[in-house]
Amino acid sequence: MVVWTDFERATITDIFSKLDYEAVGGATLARCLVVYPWTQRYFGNFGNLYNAAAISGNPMVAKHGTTILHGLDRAVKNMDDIKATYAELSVLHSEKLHVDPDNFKLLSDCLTIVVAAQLGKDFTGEVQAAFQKFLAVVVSALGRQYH
Amino acid sequence: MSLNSKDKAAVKALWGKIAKSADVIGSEALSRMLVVYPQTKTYFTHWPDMSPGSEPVKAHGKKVMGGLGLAVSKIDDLTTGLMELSEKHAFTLRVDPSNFKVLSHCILVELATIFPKEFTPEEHLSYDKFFAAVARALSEKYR
Repeated sequence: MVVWTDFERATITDIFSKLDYEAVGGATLARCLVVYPWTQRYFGNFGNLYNAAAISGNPMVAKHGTTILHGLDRAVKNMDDIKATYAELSVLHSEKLHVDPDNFKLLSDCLTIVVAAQLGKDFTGEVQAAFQKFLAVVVSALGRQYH
Repeated sequence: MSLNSKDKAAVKALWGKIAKSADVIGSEALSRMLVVYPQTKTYFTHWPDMSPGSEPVKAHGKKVMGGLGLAVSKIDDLTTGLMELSEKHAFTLRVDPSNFKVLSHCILVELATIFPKEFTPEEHLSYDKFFAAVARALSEKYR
Protein backbone atom coordinates (compact mmCIF):
# COMPACT_ATOMS: atom_id res chain seq x y z
CA MET A 1 0.00 0.00 0.00
CA VAL A 2 1.31 3.45 -0.87
CA VAL A 3 1.92 5.73 2.08
CA TRP A 4 1.40 9.42 1.40
CA THR A 5 2.71 12.14 3.67
CA ASP A 6 0.48 15.12 4.40
CA PHE A 7 2.80 17.24 2.27
CA GLU A 8 2.44 14.85 -0.68
CA ARG A 9 -1.35 14.73 -0.46
CA ALA A 10 -1.62 18.49 -0.18
CA THR A 11 0.86 19.03 -3.01
CA ILE A 12 -0.91 16.70 -5.46
CA THR A 13 -4.35 18.14 -4.70
CA ASP A 14 -2.97 21.66 -4.95
CA ILE A 15 -1.27 21.11 -8.30
CA PHE A 16 -4.33 19.54 -9.90
CA SER A 17 -6.59 22.29 -8.58
CA LYS A 18 -4.43 24.80 -10.47
CA LEU A 19 -4.47 22.97 -13.80
CA ASP A 20 -6.70 23.83 -16.75
CA TYR A 21 -7.33 20.22 -17.76
CA GLU A 22 -8.00 21.08 -21.39
CA ALA A 23 -4.93 23.24 -21.88
CA VAL A 24 -2.56 21.03 -19.88
CA GLY A 25 -3.94 17.76 -21.24
CA GLY A 26 -3.65 18.88 -24.84
CA ALA A 27 -0.21 20.40 -24.35
CA THR A 28 1.06 17.27 -22.61
CA LEU A 29 -0.12 14.81 -25.25
CA ALA A 30 1.13 17.10 -28.03
CA ARG A 31 4.54 17.36 -26.35
CA CYS A 32 4.72 13.57 -26.01
CA LEU A 33 3.90 13.06 -29.71
CA VAL A 34 6.60 15.60 -30.67
CA VAL A 35 9.37 14.60 -28.28
CA TYR A 36 8.76 10.84 -28.62
CA PRO A 37 7.41 10.51 -32.16
CA TRP A 38 7.08 6.73 -32.00
CA THR A 39 4.13 7.26 -29.64
CA GLN A 40 2.20 8.44 -32.69
CA ARG A 41 1.71 4.75 -33.50
CA TYR A 42 -1.38 4.74 -31.28
CA PHE A 43 -3.04 7.64 -33.03
CA GLY A 44 -3.16 6.60 -36.68
CA ASN A 45 -6.69 7.95 -37.06
CA PHE A 46 -5.92 11.38 -35.60
CA GLY A 47 -5.27 12.99 -38.97
CA ASN A 48 -2.41 15.44 -39.43
CA LEU A 49 0.48 14.71 -37.05
CA TYR A 50 3.04 15.65 -39.66
CA ASN A 51 5.01 18.21 -37.67
CA ALA A 52 5.07 19.93 -34.29
CA ALA A 53 2.77 22.75 -35.40
CA ALA A 54 0.22 20.31 -36.83
CA ILE A 55 0.34 18.20 -33.66
CA SER A 56 -0.05 21.19 -31.36
CA GLY A 57 -3.02 22.45 -33.38
CA ASN A 58 -4.72 19.09 -33.83
CA PRO A 59 -8.20 19.11 -32.21
CA MET A 60 -8.23 15.32 -31.70
CA VAL A 61 -4.96 15.56 -29.78
CA ALA A 62 -6.42 18.33 -27.63
CA LYS A 63 -9.57 16.35 -26.93
CA HIS A 64 -7.70 13.18 -26.07
CA GLY A 65 -5.31 15.09 -23.84
CA THR A 66 -8.29 16.30 -21.85
CA THR A 67 -9.57 12.71 -21.54
CA ILE A 68 -6.19 11.66 -20.15
CA LEU A 69 -6.14 14.45 -17.56
CA HIS A 70 -9.62 13.54 -16.39
CA GLY A 71 -8.38 9.97 -16.06
CA LEU A 72 -5.57 11.24 -13.79
CA ASP A 73 -8.16 13.10 -11.78
CA ARG A 74 -9.60 9.75 -10.72
CA ALA A 75 -6.27 8.89 -9.15
CA VAL A 76 -6.11 12.27 -7.39
CA LYS A 77 -9.55 11.62 -5.88
CA ASN A 78 -8.62 8.05 -4.83
CA MET A 79 -5.03 8.39 -3.74
CA ASP A 80 -5.36 5.64 -1.15
CA ASP A 81 -6.34 3.00 -3.67
CA ILE A 82 -5.08 3.95 -7.09
CA LYS A 83 -4.44 0.29 -7.87
CA ALA A 84 -8.12 -0.68 -7.59
CA THR A 85 -9.33 2.58 -9.14
CA TYR A 86 -7.25 1.89 -12.24
CA ALA A 87 -7.88 -1.86 -12.62
CA GLU A 88 -10.38 -1.35 -15.43
CA LEU A 89 -8.27 1.31 -17.16
CA SER A 90 -5.30 -1.04 -17.00
CA VAL A 91 -7.26 -3.82 -18.71
CA LEU A 92 -8.44 -1.32 -21.32
CA HIS A 93 -4.89 -0.14 -22.12
CA SER A 94 -3.63 -3.70 -22.30
CA GLU A 95 -6.43 -5.68 -23.96
CA LYS A 96 -8.05 -3.09 -26.17
CA LEU A 97 -5.56 -0.30 -26.80
CA HIS A 98 -2.42 -2.48 -26.73
CA VAL A 99 -0.25 0.37 -25.41
CA ASP A 100 3.32 -0.55 -24.49
CA PRO A 101 3.47 0.37 -20.78
CA ASP A 102 6.84 2.09 -21.27
CA ASN A 103 4.87 4.84 -22.96
CA PHE A 104 3.14 5.72 -19.70
CA LYS A 105 6.47 6.95 -18.31
CA LEU A 106 7.10 9.05 -21.43
CA LEU A 107 3.73 10.76 -21.10
CA SER A 108 4.21 11.31 -17.37
CA ASP A 109 7.62 12.95 -18.01
CA CYS A 110 5.94 15.30 -20.47
CA LEU A 111 3.25 16.14 -17.92
CA THR A 112 5.99 16.93 -15.39
CA ILE A 113 7.58 19.35 -17.86
CA VAL A 114 4.26 21.05 -18.68
CA VAL A 115 3.39 21.45 -14.99
CA ALA A 116 6.94 22.71 -14.28
CA ALA A 117 6.54 25.34 -16.98
CA GLN A 118 3.24 26.47 -15.47
CA LEU A 119 4.36 26.56 -11.83
CA GLY A 120 7.85 28.00 -12.42
CA LYS A 121 9.79 28.52 -9.20
CA ASP A 122 6.90 26.99 -7.20
CA PHE A 123 7.84 23.65 -8.78
CA THR A 124 10.52 23.05 -6.19
CA GLY A 125 12.46 19.81 -5.79
CA GLU A 126 10.10 18.72 -2.99
CA VAL A 127 7.03 19.43 -5.09
CA GLN A 128 8.56 17.61 -8.06
CA ALA A 129 9.38 14.59 -5.88
CA ALA A 130 5.77 14.38 -4.68
CA PHE A 131 4.39 14.82 -8.19
CA GLN A 132 6.70 12.20 -9.68
CA LYS A 133 5.89 9.76 -6.86
CA PHE A 134 2.19 10.19 -7.67
CA LEU A 135 2.80 9.66 -11.39
CA ALA A 136 4.95 6.59 -10.68
CA VAL A 137 2.09 5.05 -8.68
CA VAL A 138 -0.33 5.84 -11.52
CA VAL A 139 2.01 4.35 -14.11
CA SER A 140 2.47 1.22 -12.02
CA ALA A 141 -1.31 0.81 -11.55
CA LEU A 142 -1.90 1.25 -15.28
CA GLY A 143 0.58 -1.50 -16.08
CA ARG A 144 -0.67 -3.90 -13.45
CA GLN A 145 -3.24 -5.87 -15.44
CA TYR A 146 -0.94 -6.58 -18.38
CA HIS A 147 -0.13 -10.22 -18.95
CA MET B 1 18.55 9.17 -32.95
CA SER B 2 21.55 11.32 -33.85
CA LEU B 3 21.42 15.10 -33.88
CA ASN B 4 20.35 16.63 -37.16
CA SER B 5 21.00 20.22 -38.20
CA LYS B 6 17.62 21.32 -36.81
CA ASP B 7 18.49 19.88 -33.38
CA LYS B 8 21.93 21.53 -33.35
CA ALA B 9 20.41 24.89 -34.28
CA ALA B 10 17.72 24.53 -31.60
CA VAL B 11 20.28 23.61 -28.94
CA LYS B 12 22.57 26.51 -29.83
CA ALA B 13 19.66 28.97 -30.00
CA LEU B 14 18.47 28.32 -26.46
CA TRP B 15 21.99 27.81 -25.11
CA GLY B 16 22.66 31.50 -25.70
CA LYS B 17 20.00 32.28 -23.09
CA ILE B 18 20.98 29.39 -20.82
CA ALA B 19 24.65 30.45 -20.74
CA LYS B 20 23.70 33.78 -19.13
CA SER B 21 22.38 32.01 -16.01
CA ALA B 22 24.35 28.78 -16.38
CA ASP B 23 25.67 28.73 -12.81
CA VAL B 24 22.22 29.17 -11.26
CA ILE B 25 20.63 26.65 -13.61
CA GLY B 26 23.35 24.11 -12.84
CA SER B 27 23.04 24.58 -9.10
CA GLU B 28 19.24 24.41 -9.19
CA ALA B 29 19.16 21.34 -11.46
CA LEU B 30 21.65 19.51 -9.27
CA SER B 31 19.78 20.50 -6.09
CA ARG B 32 16.58 19.24 -7.68
CA MET B 33 18.22 15.94 -8.58
CA LEU B 34 19.50 15.36 -5.04
CA VAL B 35 15.99 15.92 -3.65
CA VAL B 36 13.94 14.07 -6.27
CA TYR B 37 16.37 11.15 -6.69
CA PRO B 38 17.96 10.67 -3.25
CA GLN B 39 19.95 7.68 -4.51
CA THR B 40 22.17 10.16 -6.39
CA LYS B 41 23.44 11.45 -3.06
CA THR B 42 25.56 8.30 -2.82
CA TYR B 43 28.05 9.95 -5.16
CA PHE B 44 28.57 13.01 -2.98
CA THR B 45 29.05 11.71 0.55
CA HIS B 46 32.50 13.31 0.55
CA TRP B 47 30.88 16.77 0.52
CA PRO B 48 30.48 18.50 3.89
CA ASP B 49 27.06 19.71 2.77
CA MET B 50 24.73 18.10 0.21
CA SER B 51 21.75 20.36 0.82
CA PRO B 52 20.15 22.24 -2.07
CA GLY B 53 21.90 25.53 -2.78
CA SER B 54 24.92 24.72 -0.59
CA GLU B 55 28.45 25.74 -1.65
CA PRO B 56 29.54 22.28 -2.86
CA VAL B 57 26.30 21.91 -4.85
CA LYS B 58 26.72 25.36 -6.40
CA ALA B 59 30.33 24.69 -7.33
CA HIS B 60 29.47 21.33 -8.83
CA GLY B 61 26.48 22.70 -10.76
CA LYS B 62 28.83 25.24 -12.32
CA LYS B 63 31.22 22.46 -13.30
CA VAL B 64 28.45 20.40 -14.91
CA MET B 65 27.18 23.36 -16.92
CA GLY B 66 30.76 24.06 -18.00
CA GLY B 67 30.90 20.53 -19.34
CA LEU B 68 27.61 21.03 -21.18
CA GLY B 69 28.90 24.29 -22.65
CA LEU B 70 31.90 22.37 -23.93
CA ALA B 71 29.52 19.79 -25.41
CA VAL B 72 27.57 22.54 -27.22
CA SER B 73 30.82 23.82 -28.75
CA LYS B 74 31.75 20.28 -29.82
CA ILE B 75 28.27 19.34 -30.92
CA ASP B 76 29.49 18.16 -34.32
CA ASP B 77 31.68 15.47 -32.77
CA LEU B 78 30.73 14.79 -29.17
CA THR B 79 32.64 11.50 -28.93
CA THR B 80 35.97 13.20 -29.70
CA GLY B 81 35.11 16.45 -27.97
CA LEU B 82 34.14 14.80 -24.68
CA MET B 83 36.83 12.09 -24.73
CA GLU B 84 38.65 13.42 -21.66
CA LEU B 85 35.43 13.81 -19.69
CA SER B 86 34.45 10.31 -20.71
CA GLU B 87 37.71 8.93 -19.35
CA LYS B 88 37.16 10.84 -16.13
CA HIS B 89 33.63 9.46 -15.69
CA ALA B 90 34.72 5.94 -16.66
CA PHE B 91 37.84 5.49 -14.61
CA THR B 92 37.71 8.02 -11.80
CA LEU B 93 34.11 8.98 -11.09
CA ARG B 94 32.47 5.73 -12.22
CA VAL B 95 29.00 7.22 -12.22
CA ASP B 96 26.43 4.62 -13.24
CA PRO B 97 25.22 5.76 -16.67
CA SER B 98 21.57 5.53 -15.59
CA ASN B 99 22.23 8.72 -13.65
CA PHE B 100 22.93 10.68 -16.83
CA LYS B 101 19.26 10.24 -17.69
CA VAL B 102 18.23 11.33 -14.23
CA LEU B 103 20.30 14.52 -14.29
CA SER B 104 19.19 15.25 -17.88
CA HIS B 105 15.56 15.05 -16.76
CA CYS B 106 16.23 17.47 -13.91
CA ILE B 107 17.92 19.94 -16.25
CA LEU B 108 14.97 19.71 -18.65
CA VAL B 109 12.56 20.39 -15.76
CA GLU B 110 14.70 23.35 -14.66
CA LEU B 111 14.68 24.74 -18.21
CA ALA B 112 10.88 24.40 -18.29
CA THR B 113 10.52 26.37 -15.05
CA ILE B 114 12.88 29.14 -16.17
CA PHE B 115 11.97 29.38 -19.86
CA PRO B 116 8.29 28.33 -20.01
CA LYS B 117 7.71 30.06 -23.34
CA GLU B 118 10.98 29.20 -25.08
CA PHE B 119 11.02 25.55 -23.98
CA THR B 120 8.57 24.50 -26.69
CA PRO B 121 7.99 20.84 -27.57
CA GLU B 122 10.53 21.22 -30.39
CA GLU B 123 13.22 22.68 -28.12
CA HIS B 124 12.44 19.93 -25.60
CA LEU B 125 12.87 17.31 -28.34
CA SER B 126 16.26 18.69 -29.42
CA TYR B 127 17.55 19.06 -25.86
CA ASP B 128 16.36 15.56 -24.95
CA LYS B 129 18.29 14.23 -27.94
CA PHE B 130 21.31 16.41 -27.14
CA PHE B 131 21.52 15.22 -23.53
CA ALA B 132 21.16 11.62 -24.70
CA ALA B 133 24.00 12.18 -27.18
CA VAL B 134 26.16 13.75 -24.46
CA ALA B 135 25.40 10.80 -22.17
CA ARG B 136 26.42 8.38 -24.93
CA ALA B 137 29.69 10.25 -25.47
CA LEU B 138 30.35 10.31 -21.72
CA SER B 139 29.76 6.55 -21.50
CA GLU B 140 32.07 5.85 -24.43
CA LYS B 141 35.07 4.79 -22.34
CA TYR B 142 33.17 2.80 -19.72
CA ARG B 143 33.86 -0.63 -21.18
